[in-house]
Order: sequence, then C-alpha cells, then structure tokens
Amino acid sequence: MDQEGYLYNIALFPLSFTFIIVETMNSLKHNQAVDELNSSDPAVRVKALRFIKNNIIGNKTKKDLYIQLDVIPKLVKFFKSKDTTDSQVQIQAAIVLGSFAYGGEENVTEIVKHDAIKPLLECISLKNDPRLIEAAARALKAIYKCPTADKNDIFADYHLRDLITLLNPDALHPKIDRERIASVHTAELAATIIARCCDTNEQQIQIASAGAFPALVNLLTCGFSKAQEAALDALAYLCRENPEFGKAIVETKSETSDSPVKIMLNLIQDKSPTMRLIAAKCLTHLSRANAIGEYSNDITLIVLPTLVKLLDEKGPVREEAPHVLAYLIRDNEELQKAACDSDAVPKLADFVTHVVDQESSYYDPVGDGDKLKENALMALAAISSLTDDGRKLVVEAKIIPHIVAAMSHRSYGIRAAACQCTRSLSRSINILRTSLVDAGIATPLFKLLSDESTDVQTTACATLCNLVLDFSPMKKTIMELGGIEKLVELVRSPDNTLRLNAIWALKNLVYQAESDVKEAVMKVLTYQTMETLISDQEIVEVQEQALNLLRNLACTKQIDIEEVFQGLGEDRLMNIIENKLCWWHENEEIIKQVLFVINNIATGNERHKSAIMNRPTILTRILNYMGHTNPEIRVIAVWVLINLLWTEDKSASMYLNILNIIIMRFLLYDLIFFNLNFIKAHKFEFKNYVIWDLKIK
Amino acid sequence: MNYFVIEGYKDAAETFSQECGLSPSIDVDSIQDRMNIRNAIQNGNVEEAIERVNDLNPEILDTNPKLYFHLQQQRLIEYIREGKIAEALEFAQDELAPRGEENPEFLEELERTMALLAFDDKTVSPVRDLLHPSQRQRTASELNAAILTSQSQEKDPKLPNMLKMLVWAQDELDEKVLYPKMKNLVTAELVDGNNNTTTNSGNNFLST
Repeated sequence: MDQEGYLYNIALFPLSFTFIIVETMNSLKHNQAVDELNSSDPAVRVKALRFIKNNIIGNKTKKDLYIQLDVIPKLVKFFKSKDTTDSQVQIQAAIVLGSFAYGGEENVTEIVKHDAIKPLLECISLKNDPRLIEAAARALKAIYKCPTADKNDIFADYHLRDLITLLNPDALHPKIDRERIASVHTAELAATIIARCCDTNEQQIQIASAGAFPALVNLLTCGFSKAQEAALDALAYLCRENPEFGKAIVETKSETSDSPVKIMLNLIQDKSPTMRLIAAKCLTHLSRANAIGEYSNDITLIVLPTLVKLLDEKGPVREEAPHVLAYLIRDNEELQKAACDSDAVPKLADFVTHVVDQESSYYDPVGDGDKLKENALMALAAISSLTDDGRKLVVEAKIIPHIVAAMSHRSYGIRAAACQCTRSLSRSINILRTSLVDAGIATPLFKLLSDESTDVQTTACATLCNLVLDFSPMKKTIMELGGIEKLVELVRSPDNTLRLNAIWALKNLVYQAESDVKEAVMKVLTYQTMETLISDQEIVEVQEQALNLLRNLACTKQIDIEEVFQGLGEDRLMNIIENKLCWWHENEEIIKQVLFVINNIATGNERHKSAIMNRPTILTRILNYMGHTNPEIRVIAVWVLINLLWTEDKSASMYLNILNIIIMRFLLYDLIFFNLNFIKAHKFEFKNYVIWDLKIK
Repeated sequence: MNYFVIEGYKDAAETFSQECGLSPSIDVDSIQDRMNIRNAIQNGNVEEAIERVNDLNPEILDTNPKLYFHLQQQRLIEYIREGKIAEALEFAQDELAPRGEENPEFLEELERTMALLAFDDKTVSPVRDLLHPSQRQRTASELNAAILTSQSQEKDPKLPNMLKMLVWAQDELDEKVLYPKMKNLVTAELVDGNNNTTTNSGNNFLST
C-alpha cells in the first residue's frame, strides 16, 4: 500500500507543470463562449449556449466561473428581444439560468439582481412554445427554491392564471406521447412553484382565488408520481394553518369523484417513501387545520404509524419525517400517547445520539446531519410535551446528556431544539428535581439567554420559567449566576415574545418567594419598569404577566404588601388598579389578575384595606364584577370583599353587616353552582379563612 | 413488457407489443433516448451521454451530485484507457479535483481513480477493475435509473423479482402439497403432481 502511494505521488508530479498551461487554455474556451453570445447569427448563439449549459450543469465551479464572466445579464437580454425566431436561443438561455439557480443562494441573488424573474414569468404564458414554457418553469422552480428570492412578481398580471392553467397537462394540447410527458412535467413544475410561493396567508388566498384547488386535486390522480408528489406538496402549503382552505380542499370534487382525502390515504401507502412522506405531510396539515373531519381515526391509525416507519428510511425522507411528526402531534395529547406506544422515541433518540457532526459539504447528498438532529430533538420535545409517559420514555432513552451537549452546538436550530426538549421535560416536577438537576442543565441553559440568536434566547427563557419556580433546586443556581439581572435585561427587549417570556420568568421567580428574593428582584427591575410593563403597548400578554408579578409580590406577608406600597406609592398603585378595572373590562385575564392584586392587598393591614376602601370607583367595580358572567371572576371578587371585611376592628360593624349579607348570598350561589376546586386552588393566597367561619358581627 | 421498457430493449418492446396487443406503458421514443445514452457510455463516449441527458432533462445532473461525479470519473477512466495521460491529468485537475473539494465524500473514490495513473502496466494495478467493462455498465445503469426516476417510472424491472418469488413459493409448497409446478423457467411448462405435462400451459407465450 505504501509503495502504491509513493508511485501515486510521482504520477501527480507533472500535474503542476501542466496546470498553468491548462488554466490559460481553459479560460480561453469559456471566454470565447461568452463572446459568441453576442454573435448576430442565432446558430452560433445556440451553440455557445449549449456549450455553456453542458459545462455548468452539475458543476458548481463552472457556474461560479461563468458568473464571474458576467454571463447572466447577457442571458436576460435574450428575453427582451421580441424576435420569435430566437425561440431556440430563449429555450437554451432559460435552461442555463435554471442551472445557475441550482448553484446556491449567492447564485440566485445574482440572477434576481439582474431582473431575470419577470422575463421568465412572461415565458410561461401559454402562447409560447411548450418547450420554452417548460424551460422557464424549470428555471423559476429552481429560483424559488431559495428562501430569500422575492416572490411578489408571480402575483402580478396573469402569471398565476397561467400557472394554474399549466396544472392541467391537456392545456398544452399534447399530441404524441413525448409531448404528453413534457406536459405532465410542466404541470409538475407549476405545482412545485405554487408550493414554494404560498408562505403567507395573503399568498395562499391569491393562489386559491385563481382556482388552484380543483386543478391540484385533479393532478393528484394523473398517475405520474412526480407530478402527484408536487400536487400534494402544493396542497399541503395551501392549507397550512388555514382551516377555511383545509375545508375547501377536502370538499373539492376530483374528476374521478373520489374525495381528496381518500386519494391521499391511498397515496400514503405508495411504494415510494417520498410519496408516503408528502402524503403524510399533506394529511397532517389538513388535520392541524381541523379539516380532516370523518377521517380523524385514520390520522392515528395510518398517518402517525407511517411517519414513524419513515424514520427507517435514508436521506431527505428520514430527515423530514420527524419534522412532520412533531407538527402532527403538537398540542394533541391523544396523538402523543399513540406516538409513545409506537417505537418512535428509541428511533429519534438514536438520531440524537448517533448522528455524527459532519463537515458541511456543498451538496449534502446524504442529507444534512444537523437538520436531522434538530428535527429529531423537536419531535422528542413534542412527544414529551403533554404527558408524563412521554417524558419518562425520553428520559429512559438516556439522551439528556446529549441535550445538554446540544446546547453548545454550532447550529442555532439545534440549540433551540435542545431548549424545547428541556422545557417539555421540566413540566414533570419529578424529572425536574432529579434527572435535570443531575445533568447540570441550569448553567448551559442560562448561557443561552445570551445567545446570538433571538430564537434561542426566547426558547431558553421559556424553559427557564419552569426552572425558577419555588420547588426547583435550580432556582438558587440561576439566581447565583445572575439570573435576575439577565432576565431584567431581556424584559427590555424589543422582541415581543422574548419580553413576554422574560417577565413570565420573573413572575415565576417571585411566586411564593421569600421577601429578600422579592426585594432583590425589584431592586434590579424597579417599580417604574414594572409599571411600564403593566401598560405595555405591544402585546397585552405582557400586561397580564406584569400584573401577575405584582400579585405575586403582594402575596401572603404584610411586609411584602407594605413593600409594594412603599415602592410604588399608594396613589400610583391605586391608579393602576382603577385604570385597569375601568378600561380593560373586556379582557377577562387582565381583570382576573387585577382582582387578585386587590385581593392580596386586602389581606394586609388596616392601612392597606383603607387604601382600597377609599376608592369608591374601585369598590363599585368590584361589586359589579361579583355579577360577571365568568364564574372565576365572580369568585375572586367575592373573596376580595371577604378579605376586606376580615378585620379585628369592631367599630365598623354596621357597614360590615350589610356587606356580609350581600356576600353570603353570592357566595352560596357560587358554591353550589361552581367548581370548588378553583377556590381551593387559590386558598393559599387568601387569608386562611374557612367559609363557614364567616363572622357576622 | 415492463422488463423490456426499463432495460431499454426498444425493438423487443415494439415487437412484443405488436404480437400481444399490449401497448407499452411508456412512449417508445423515450426508450430510444435512453438506449442512445446507454450505448454512448458503453462505447466510452461519456461526453456525448452527458450532452444527451442534458437535452433530455437538464435537472438530472444538477440534482444528482453522486451521479455527476461518477460520470466525470468515467470520463477520466476513458482518457486513461486510451493512453491520453496528458488530457487525463488536465481533466483530473480541471474537473475532478473541484468535485472532491465540493464534496469530501467523493475523495476516496477519486483517489482510487487517480491510482490508475500510478501504474504503467494497468493489468497489475489494484484498481484495474475500473477499466473493466462492468464499470461502464455500472455507470450506464446508474444514469438509466436516474432518468427513469425523473420520468416518474420505476427503475427496477418487476420480472427478476417475480421469478425469485415464484421459485421461493414453489419451494415452500413442495413440502406441503402436490401442484402443477413450473420446472423449466425457460419454457414455462407446467408439470402436474404426477409428472405429467399439462396440455393447457396458458403462459406459453414464447411459442408462436
């Protein structure tokens, strides 16, 4: 072997000499080809185009070379000519542009920069040569594969209408078999373009209005698998998070008068794994859009098992299957249980533990190892999100050490997915206190609060919410690492979700916390900031959490309540309360939180109670809320009064008597007709006061 | 018919179609296209094969990096086979080295191919299998399969698998029951349990 290697080196030695000569010769050939594009003879132009085409197809290096030679503007110019004898030139030029688009994002940017998209869209008009339509469609498909390509042009003029017409292979009137195959291929391309151009709801609406649904449903039965796959893909993206369109698709009549869902349930059993995956994806999107109706059993019995089995495939199929699976079972306890019963967890865990981090190669022919890991982690996070069984399975698969390691992975997607996994697992108090603590997850998680990616920060923050509750052994660690300071920093973020998660975490941090902890938090946060958050302009959820924070601060101990009075000032505090009660009466969550705040204040000393009593507006509102339609609100309002009235001071007896009678009436009514659990759940916040002990003076 | 179409036996498919009244599931012209491409490679003319497949469907080589690499590799092998060492080196530097850079997984196969250059007497080279006609066959089949997939067709003919299943099923049945057995797969004659040839061998399509 060594000898062979030695000889091999000798053989390569002359290489360096020929290299310089070779370089010059080659670049001459390519320069010449580019020059010939300027020829007045169309035959010469076609020959040059074909030379370029055959050099760049499959060859990234050559693509880059020709782009350097500034060939793209020359190609775009061919489409500006009105001369129809140039059709062969235009066809070849379209093919060449399409091939450049396969060379990566930078190439697509170049193409878009030179305004190639509009002329290509003109080419798909039905008055053109079918071969030109096919070539242009192919180029557009490659361009739109790039997520940064601008998709607005397609919605102008008649381009959408042309695309939808092309979905029907007979639109181009194919006569011989070869033309028929090309027509079906064009239909496939049109469907793929549509699939790539419906990112937003706006775009979905425009495409649907142009008549996409019947055309796509018919394409599902054409018998050519690639076209069927493209149609499934397009339908999947048209109904994504769109219940109205999901329903519309399900009700579309196909030519064979089979229901589209039945057709898809047929395709999901195809022998090609790609077909099975895309059919599963389409059915998943329909199911998530609540459009699946009578076929919901098939989701559990057919779609879910199919996705789990697809985890055994190779390549892109194996990589995307966990992503679809995660989306399918999200927020659905029944499906998560079914996933637990299957062998999904061990297979997914295997991806996390055994997929090797490879150097990213340009084409990634075996699929992206990073993406696979990320999707697997997300699927595991989904399986363990709602049930303890799921969480137990994930812990038993011994992947927690890998989750911790993934928090410092180079890919931000993997870091975020690791957080999601942790968040799901942390919903089990048991696992939080044992496995997560043992794995030392607090420190790496905390580091992610300073991650360069906002997505990661947001997810880490959401996870932290569970780890800073009072029963968590990690609360102390996080505070020692500077958790309070970091969370306060994040609470000032312009990113809405991040800000929300940060205030949520702070709220949890002070929940049932010691006075010194509360003091420490407010020292950094300041009452001023809290007040700003209570009137957050962007999202109302931040206001809710900020009020909840205030509620937790004023909870239980009188010194805590006094601290709030000192920090905010009595007037400001009452003004906030009054403002919320009066102007936010339509938002039940806000009203609930404000009432809780008042209630907690009412458990304080005489001074605290008087602060409330001295505000007739507030009292009136409270009385009003005792008759609110939402029983939860009624109960809290009543408790406010109970606590206000619980006093050692005997002199207020008459006033108290009347109020006591009112309370009794409401209380009994609610006790009989409303779930006692709600009251029990909040018992700790109120004075320890058994209802039957209500003292009527 | 499925076998003829997939493997690219156009004349056989046409004749068969006329005799049985079965239409081929696919346009016979496209079989010709694939045949031309396969023949080009079998004759060592890889560049022509690449041009033809790019005319047929320019996406195939742009979306199959492994296939493209194997075609380039085959071109290098042909240069070496013809003794055009200078061109071979030029080609290796210009076309194959970038493939190796773009995709480290190809480096190992690339090095194997370059090793061909190390030995003057190719017959003693450890990588001489690359010069064997079966290497051309392998490359041609890979390309044929990619074309079929792009046309939404299956790339594996059903006939070999069916024959395997038939033999397996007969083996299983042998232990359990007497039945008309197909002993000769060429003539497709059925022999019943008492070793008498049945007169009504319905699948005797090879006879005229």
